[in-house]
Amino acid sequence: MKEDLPDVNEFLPLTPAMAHVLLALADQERHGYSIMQEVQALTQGQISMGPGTLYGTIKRMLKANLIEESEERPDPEMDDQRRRYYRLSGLGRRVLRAEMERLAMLVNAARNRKILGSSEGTL
Amino acid sequence: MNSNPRPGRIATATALYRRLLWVYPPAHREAYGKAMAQLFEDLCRDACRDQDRWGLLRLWPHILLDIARTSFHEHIDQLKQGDKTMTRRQWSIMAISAGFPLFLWLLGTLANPIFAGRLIATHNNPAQPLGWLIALGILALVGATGLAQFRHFSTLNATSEAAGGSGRIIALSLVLIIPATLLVLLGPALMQILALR
Repeated sequence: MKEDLPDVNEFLPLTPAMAHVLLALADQERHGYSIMQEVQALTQGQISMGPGTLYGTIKRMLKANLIEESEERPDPEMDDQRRRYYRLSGLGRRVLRAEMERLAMLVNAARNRKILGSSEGTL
Repeated sequence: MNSNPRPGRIATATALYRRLLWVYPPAHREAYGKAMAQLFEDLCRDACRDQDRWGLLRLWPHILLDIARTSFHEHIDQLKQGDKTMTRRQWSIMAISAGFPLFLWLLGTLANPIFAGRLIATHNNPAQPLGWLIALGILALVGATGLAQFRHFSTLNATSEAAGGSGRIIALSLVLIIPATLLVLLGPALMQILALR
C-alpha cells in the first residue's frame, strides 16, 4: 500500500522561527543550545531565541513530524549534562527545501523590480 | 578561559528561572521544563563570559518577555486542542469566588453615588487616590485568587492527583477573598471619612 505523503505546501509559509530551526538542523543533529547558536550565526546575531520560543517551536515541529528527536547524550564540546538532540525528518527536509525555493522566488522578483541588487554586484 | 564563570550567580538565576516556569501549562513544563532550564543556564554562562558584570542582568528582560509571550501561546494552544484542564464545575467555582467581590464592588458603586463620584471625579479630591488604591487592591486580590485556583485545578486534572489539596486552595481563596470583600464594603466609608476630615 502506497503511503500518502503529506503535501509540503500545507506547511508553507513557515514561521520565521520554524524556518530558522529547520535551517539550523539541515547539516547535522543538534541540541537546543546548539540550535540557538546556529540560528544566531545564520542571522549574524539579529535573531536570538529564548528558551520558551525555541522549545515551543520544537514542540510544534515534533508534532508536525518536521523534526525527530534523537537519544539524549552529552555534548563532547560542552559539559557533562545529557542533552536532547534533534534532527530533520524526511518531511522536514522537503518542507525546508520548498520554503527556501519560495523565498528564492521572492528574492528574484525583488531583483527584477530593482528592489535588490543583482547577486553578482553589491547593493 | 573560565569555563564556568560566576557559578553562584548562574545557579541562583537558573533556580529563579525554574520557578518562573510555573506559568507554563503543566504538560509543557513536564515535557520541556528541564531542557528550557538547561538552555537558560547556557545563556547565563554566555552572558557572564562575553559581557561585563551586568551581562546577566541584561539577559532578564529578554527572558521575561520570552516567558510572558510563549506561556500565553502555550495555554492558548492547549485550549485549542480541546485539552480542557479544568472541569465546568471548577471554572464555576473560580468564577464565583473571584467574581463575588467584583460584583459587590459594582453594586456598591451603583448604589453609592458618593463612592462612584469620587472614583470618576476629575477635580482635585483628597479621597481620589485612596479610591484608586482600594480598587487596585481589590483587583489584585481577586486576580490572585483566580490565578491560584486556576493553577491548582489545572494541575489537578493534568496529573490525575487526588483532590486532597482542594481544601488548601479553598482556604487560600478565603484568605484572599475576605480582605477583598472588606475593602469593597468598607472602602466607600473610609473614603468618606477621609474626605470629611
